[in-house]
Amino acid sequence: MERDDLELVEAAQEGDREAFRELVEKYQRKVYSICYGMLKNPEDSLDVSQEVFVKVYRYIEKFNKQSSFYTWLYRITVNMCIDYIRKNSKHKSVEYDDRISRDGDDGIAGEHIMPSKLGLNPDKVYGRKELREKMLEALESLSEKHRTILILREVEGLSYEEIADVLNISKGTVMSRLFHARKYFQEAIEEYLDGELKV
Amino acid sequence: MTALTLQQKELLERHYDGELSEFEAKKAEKLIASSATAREFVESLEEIGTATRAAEEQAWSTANAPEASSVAATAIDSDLTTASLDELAPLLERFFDGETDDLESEFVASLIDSRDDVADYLTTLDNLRGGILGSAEAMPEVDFGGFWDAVSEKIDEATTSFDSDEHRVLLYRFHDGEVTDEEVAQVNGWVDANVPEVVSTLDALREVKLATTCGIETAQEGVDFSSIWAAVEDAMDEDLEAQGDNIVAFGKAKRENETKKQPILQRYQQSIYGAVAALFIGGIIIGLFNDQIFEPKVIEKTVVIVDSVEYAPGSSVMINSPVQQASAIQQDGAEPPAEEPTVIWILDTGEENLDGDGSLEEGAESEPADAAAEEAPADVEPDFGNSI
Repeated sequence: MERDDLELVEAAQEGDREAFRELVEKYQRKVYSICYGMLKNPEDSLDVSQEVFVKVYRYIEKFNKQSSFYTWLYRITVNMCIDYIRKNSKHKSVEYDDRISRDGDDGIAGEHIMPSKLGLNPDKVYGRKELREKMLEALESLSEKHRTILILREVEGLSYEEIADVLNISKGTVMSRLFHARKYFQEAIEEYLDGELKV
Repeated sequence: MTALTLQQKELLERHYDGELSEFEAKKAEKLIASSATAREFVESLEEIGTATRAAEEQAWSTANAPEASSVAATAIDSDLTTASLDELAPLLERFFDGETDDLESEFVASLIDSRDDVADYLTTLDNLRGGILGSAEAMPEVDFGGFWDAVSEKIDEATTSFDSDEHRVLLYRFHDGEVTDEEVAQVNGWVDANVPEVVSTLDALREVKLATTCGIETAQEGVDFSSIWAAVEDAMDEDLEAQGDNIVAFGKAKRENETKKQPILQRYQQSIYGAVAALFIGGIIIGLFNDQIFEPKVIEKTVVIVDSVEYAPGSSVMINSPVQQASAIQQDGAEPPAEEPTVIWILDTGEENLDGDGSLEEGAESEPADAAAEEAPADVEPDFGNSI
């Protein structure tokens, strides 16, 4: 029988190594996704993912169960990625330039998510590898904060409240940032597909 | 600098006037925060407001607002009875509307009596009122039966109609599942009504989600996730080695925490048992080696060496002292008697009342207690004069 997070966490706190392994295997892809979203580099993302779980293992005693385990895990992930970015200057410059190009003070007028016109659907996207790769490139073109919030919302399915908790920002900022992230991602998809691939 | 649209200006004006809903207020604040033109516009509104208030205050401070009662007095003083109808008109109209005080009413009444033009003016006012009332009565009957339905329909229409500026954020929240039941119903209403903007926006949001998920899944292709657990296991083993303990230390802190939560008696149960046992053993040892452990206790004992003793419990004791015998023999010049057993009687303090059975050492010669009691003279104290 599959155990839920709380049971696994409690067992892990009691020293059950297998329970901790279950937690790792359950969340490794999600943690990797967040790391990738923030770091954009597969090797770095895997390294940081490992470090995240090692840290979780060492601090699991301190997890007080007041929030959900995954929120706590994602918060650690985001913080470790931020630390990693700080320690690696190459990320700094890339993210800084990206932010300038994407986060202008555009005001509100006319700033909406474009109506659907790309015609993306699961059948088309999953049926064509090159299309998926373009999606990834488009995602990578976003700033770190926009990629992160998109992944937390769209891939991990976190609520605004949970995202606010994980990223330590207000709920209003979550909504605003998510709006911009979607808008820029949509533009990026269009850019990457235009003239190269027809959906 | 981007120029503001008419809608944005209206939004800012209503924001300045405090006439916005919470949602609109946030929208306006966002606009102010993000646009320099909007900030300039709001500043100009503030300037206009300040200037208007200042002008009004000035007007009030310099104005001579006459009190109603003073009008009549002034009129009487300045002999308004001869004033023109134009001058008197404001007073007469107030009189007609029942807004004059007693003094003014009295004054107007005197005018009516004295001046025909005043009476005519008031009659005209009365006719005018009658005409208005008459025309109102003459209005055709209106059927208000469907009035509320029409109003209600318009309200519903306003609620369900999609305003791209106002409702777009709601669509984003709907897509993210961050809506109330009412809002869900509202959006579903738009979807059912096939509002093009709503449908296309929701489609666009779904596309973004699909593309994000797909992008991340692509990023995960070929990643060896087993290395994550391997790294964690290595860390676990390193920790255990560092602790130099084969017992799984994972969770040790948890157990310690649980121990701390136990009652004091339970936590120190073993220690308490140990302490009690130690006290018990200590007590036995002290009992056995009391004299050696503590300072020696001096017990006075009197040693009396006698040849024989006759006694009975509760009676005086007759002692024949060998010293006395020896002295008697030497005095007589006779041979000392053959050796006879010597009784050594050790008296402990408070042992004067001895039982006949156990007080004397075995083998000592003694008469039966009853016989001794019979032979022993009363009131003879034992002679302890030669006690050692």
